[in-house]
Amino acid sequence: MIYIGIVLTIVIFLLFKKIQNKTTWLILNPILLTMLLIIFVLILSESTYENYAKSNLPLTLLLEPAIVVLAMPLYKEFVYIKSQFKTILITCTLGVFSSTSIALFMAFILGADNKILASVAPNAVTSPIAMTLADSLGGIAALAAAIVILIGVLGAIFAHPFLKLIGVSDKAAQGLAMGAACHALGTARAVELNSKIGAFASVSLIVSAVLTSIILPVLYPLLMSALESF
Amino acid sequence: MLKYLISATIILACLFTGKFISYSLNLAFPSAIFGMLILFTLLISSVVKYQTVLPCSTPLLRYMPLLFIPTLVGLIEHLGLIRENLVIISLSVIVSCIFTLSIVGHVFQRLNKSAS
Repeated sequence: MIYIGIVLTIVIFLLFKKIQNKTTWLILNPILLTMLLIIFVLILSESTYENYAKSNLPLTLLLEPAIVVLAMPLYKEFVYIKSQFKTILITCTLGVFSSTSIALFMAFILGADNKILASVAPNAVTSPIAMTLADSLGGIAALAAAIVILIGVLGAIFAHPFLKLIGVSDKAAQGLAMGAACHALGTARAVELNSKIGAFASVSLIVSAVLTSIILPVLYPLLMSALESF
Repeated sequence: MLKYLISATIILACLFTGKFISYSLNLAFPSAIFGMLILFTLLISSVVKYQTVLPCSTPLLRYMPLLFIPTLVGLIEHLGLIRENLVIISLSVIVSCIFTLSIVGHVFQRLNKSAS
């Protein structure tokens, strides 16, 4: 019985992945669809999340090693973009500051509580890292990951036309922006568009992830006390 | 078989060193990201070869989404909270994304132009 949960996760995900590969429709994101279907199944069968999570522990435990090996694509890209690394670092740092502080500021003004604020703050990093960051700030890991994926789906569809509209015509700049604001899904779309846009998107995806993990734990309490003193 | 064992050992060694440092310094910094920085340092300083880590890193990276779906399903326990805050969450995240796209795109375009 304990195996049902993990088998459900794997089978449904692989199925949706196959469907997406066939249709190539970005909106049919396999991660989101798998999540929705499993939530639906759990509600219908009146099973508890606790049991489902227990069954899936082998997958969840592998997440930390998977974050460690994100160093591999970072290393590969680093060799490739070494000469422009300083400019990229400056731009991505700006991106991290803007994505976290604007989201926090907006959510605070609209009256969100601390749990929501801490889940919204890491919106510009790839989901596994957003999860660990939200968790360490006192937010909801699942919500942080869902936000990141939804933004990624929207970004994959709208980011490139939007960048052209506002006059960002440089391919490297387009890629960097898509990786910094729309994470893995934006990057996947960038790779499809053009190899140069794709390379810069994956660089900024990883660089932003590392920078956010360094900056956010320090920036978050500072921003929060600044907002609260208003 | 041995190459899988070696690469798994390297990855886990990085992770646990990260956990140890994070724990002993009592940092809020997520320890897995510490582990990533350690592995990156080892690769850059060529202490560890890229190819040596590849056997285990390839499947981990390829199936990464599968690893966080169980946590994502945890949304089921917060459905009420999300319904209440849906507008706040969507608005703040979308606005932040639009600004970040514009800032990163324009700043890099300008810096890149002045460099070349």
